[in-house]
Amino acid sequence: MVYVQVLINGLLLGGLYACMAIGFSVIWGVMSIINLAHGSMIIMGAYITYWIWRDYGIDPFATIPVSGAALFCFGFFLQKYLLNRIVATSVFLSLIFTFGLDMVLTNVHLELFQADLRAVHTGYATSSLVIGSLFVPYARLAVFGTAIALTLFLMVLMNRTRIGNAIKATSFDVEAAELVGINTKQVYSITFAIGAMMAGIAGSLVATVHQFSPFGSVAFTTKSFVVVILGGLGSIPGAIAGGLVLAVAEAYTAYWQPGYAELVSFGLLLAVLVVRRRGLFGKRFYAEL
Amino acid sequence: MRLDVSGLASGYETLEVVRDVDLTVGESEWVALVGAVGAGKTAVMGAIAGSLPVRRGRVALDGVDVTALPAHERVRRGLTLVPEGRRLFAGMTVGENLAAGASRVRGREAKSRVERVLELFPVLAERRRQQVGTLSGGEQQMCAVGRALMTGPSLLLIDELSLGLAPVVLDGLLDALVNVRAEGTSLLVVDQDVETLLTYADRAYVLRSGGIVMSGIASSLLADASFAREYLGVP
Amino acid sequence: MLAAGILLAGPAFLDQYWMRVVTFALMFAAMSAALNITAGFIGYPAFGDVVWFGLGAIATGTLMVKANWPFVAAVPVSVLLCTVLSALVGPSLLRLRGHYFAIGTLALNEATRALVQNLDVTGGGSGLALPITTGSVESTARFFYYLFLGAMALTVLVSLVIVRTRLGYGLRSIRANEDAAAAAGVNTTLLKTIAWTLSAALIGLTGAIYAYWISFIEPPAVFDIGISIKMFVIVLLGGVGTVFGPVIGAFGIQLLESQVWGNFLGYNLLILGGIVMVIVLFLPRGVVAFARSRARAVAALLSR
Repeated sequence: MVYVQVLINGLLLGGLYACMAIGFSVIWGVMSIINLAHGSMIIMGAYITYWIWRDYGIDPFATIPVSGAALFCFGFFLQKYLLNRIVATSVFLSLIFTFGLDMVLTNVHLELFQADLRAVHTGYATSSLVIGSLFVPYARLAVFGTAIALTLFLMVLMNRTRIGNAIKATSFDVEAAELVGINTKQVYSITFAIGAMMAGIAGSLVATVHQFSPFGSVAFTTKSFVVVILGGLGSIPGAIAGGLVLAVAEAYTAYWQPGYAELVSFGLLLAVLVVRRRGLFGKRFYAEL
Repeated sequence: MRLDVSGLASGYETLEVVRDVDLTVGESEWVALVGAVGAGKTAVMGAIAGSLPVRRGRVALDGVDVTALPAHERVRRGLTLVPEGRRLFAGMTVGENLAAGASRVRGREAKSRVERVLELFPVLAERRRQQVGTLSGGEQQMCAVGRALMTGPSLLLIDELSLGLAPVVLDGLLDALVNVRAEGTSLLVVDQDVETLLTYADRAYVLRSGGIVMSGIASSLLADASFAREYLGVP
Repeated sequence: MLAAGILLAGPAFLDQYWMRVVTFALMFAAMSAALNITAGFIGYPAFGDVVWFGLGAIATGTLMVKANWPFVAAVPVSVLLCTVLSALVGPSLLRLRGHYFAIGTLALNEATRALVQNLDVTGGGSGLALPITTGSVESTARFFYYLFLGAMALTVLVSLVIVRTRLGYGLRSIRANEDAAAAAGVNTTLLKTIAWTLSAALIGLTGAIYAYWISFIEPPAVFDIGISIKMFVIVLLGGVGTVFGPVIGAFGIQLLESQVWGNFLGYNLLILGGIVMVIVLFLPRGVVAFARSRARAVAALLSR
C-alpha cells in the first residue's frame, strides 16, 4: 500500500513539475534560448503570491492571475528590449545572459524578502481526501489539477489560435515567417512572455504547497531541464509525461534511499540524452536544433 | 501596385552579388526576371522583399520608400515573396501554413481568403489537414503560392516558379497566376523555363553577373535572335 | 614577456590581500583557458566542465585525508582520474551538439556531484578537511601562487601547441563545419575526445591544487555550476577561441569581482549579474576583439 501512496505523491508533484517546465520548454523550443533565469521567475511568482497572501489575506489560488500577468509583462519587455538583441547569435550568449539575470533577480529577491524560507499557510493545507489508508491532500490535488489544466490550455493556445500558429511558424522558419508578414520579433516577445507567465503561475502553485527561498531558483531551473529533456523539447504532452516520470522516479528513489533522488534524476537525464536525444516523446514539435 | 527599384546593390555577408539594378513593375503588370544560374536573381528578389539587406539604392512601393522596412512591414504594404525552395513550415499542416499567411487579419477576412486560395488550387482543399511534408512538389508550390496569397498582396514576387514541377502542374500554376493578375495584382517572377515564362509575361529584365544587361517587351525578346541564343537554347 | 616577468615577480610586491586576488585570477585563467580548448577551439559549449574541477579537488582531498597520501602523489593520480573518465564518457557525450551537449555535460556534473555527496569515502555531504600546509603564511601563499601560475602556463602552452599543430587544424575544421570535416576524412570523434580529455585533465589539475590551497572542500561548492558559468564569462570576455583571451578575461573578472565584493557586499550578485548581462549585450566577441577593432580604427584615423 505504501508503494501506492508513494506513487500518488509522485504523480501529484509531477503535475507541478510539468507546469514548471512548460514555459522553459516553449522558450527553448521556439527561440533556442535556454533560460537560466527560469527558476528565478518561478520564485518571483511564488513571492507575488506570498506577498498578496501575507498583506491582504487573499487565497493563493486567487493570486494566479496577478502573478501570471506580472510575469507576462516582465517577460515581454525583457525579450523586446534585451533578449531580441542576442537571440539567434550563438548557443551560449543567451545562456550566460540569462545566468546573469538569474543572479540579479536572486539579489533582488534577497533584498525584498530576505533569505528565510517562506510558505503560505492556508486553512485547508492539512486536510486530505482519505481513501482507505491512502491520503490525497486537497491542496496538492488542486495544485495538480490547476497545473495540468493550464498546461492543456497552453496546448490549445498553440494549436487553435492565430498567435499560436504564428509562434509555430516562426519556430520552424523565421525568415519564411517574416516573408508572410509575421512580425517575428514581436512573436519572440510574446513567446517569452507566455513562457514567463507559465513560470509565474507555477511559482504561485509552488508557494501554495511548498517552502521556498531566493536560493531555490537553480533547483527549479535544473528540474525544468530534466523534465524537458525527458519529455522532448517543445512538446507539451512531453512536458506532462516528463514531469510525471521525473516526480514518480524521484518519489520512489527518495523512499528507497533518500540521498539518491537527484542522482537518479540526472542519471535518467544523461541516459535519455545519450540513448534517445529527442526524449520520450520523440516527435518534432517546434524547431529542432 | 507599382514597384520602383533604383541603383540597388545587395549580397551575402562580405560578398556583393548584385549592383546598380534598376527595374520597375507597373500596376497589374507581369514582369519576368531571367538570367543564368548565379546571375543574382535570388539576391534581387530577396533585397526587394526585405529578407536580404539593401546596401545601396532604393526600393519603393507606389512611390513610398520601403528600403529600411523589415520584410513583414513590406508584406503589410502589399509586397509578398514566395522564396526559392518554397520554405513551407515543415511540421505544420496545409491549413496551418495558409493560416500563417493571414496572421494579421481577422477571422472572417481570413476565411474568405482561404476560400479564394482553395478555389484557385482545389487540390489543397483535400490536403488541408495533411502535413506539408506529405505533399507532392506541385502541391507544395501551390501551398507556397497560396500562403503568399493569404497575405492579400498587391505585388507578388515568385522565385523559381517551376523548379522540379511537371509541365502539366506548371500550367495549372500559371493559369492561377493569370487569374490573380486579372484581379489587379502585379507579378514579378523568376524562372528557369524562360520560354514559357515569357509567353505569359508582359515585360522582362535580363540579369547577368549581378547587373541588368537587357530589358524589353517579352514578345520582342522572344523574337530577338541574340537573346534566343543565350537564354532559350536556340542555336 | 613583460607580463610574464611581472607575474613571476608578483609575490615580491603584492600584499596578502592582492596575493589572494591574483592567485584566484591565475586559477581561473588556467581553468578558463582549459575550457577554451573545448568551448572555443571546437565550439562545444561544455557547460558542465566544472565536473573535472570538482573531481580533481575531491580526488586529491580523499587521497590525502583517507589514504594519507602526500600532495605530490595525490595530484597526478587525480589528474589521471579526470583524464581516464573524460576519455571514457567523451565519445558518447560528444555525439551531442549545441544545447544538447551543454545539457549533457551539465547532467554529468550534477550526477557526479550527487554521487560524490552520497559516498562516505569522499566525505559525503559533510566535506573534507585537508592537512594544513607547513610553513609561514607568506611562504604558503607564494607556494600556491606559483603552482597556479605553473598550471596556467602549462594550459597556455598546451593551447599554443594545439593551435600550431594538425590537431588544431582539425579542431578548427570541426568548428567551421563538422559534417564537412567528417566527410573530408577527419576523425572527428577522436579529435574532439582528445581536445576534451586535455581540457578535462587541465581543469582537474587546477581542482587538485585548489583543494590543498583552500584546505576544506565540500561537493556542492566544488561542483557548483556557477564556477562553469564564470569560466564561460571569462572566455567570452577575453574572446572565444583565442589563446591569451581567457587569461586577460580571468584577470579582468577577478579584479572586478574583488572590487564588487569589497565595496558592495549585499549587492554583489546584482552587480556581477548586471556586468555579465552588459558583457553579453555589448562585448559579445570579447575585449580582445573589441580592442583590436578600436586599435584599427585609431590607426586608420592617425594614418589619414
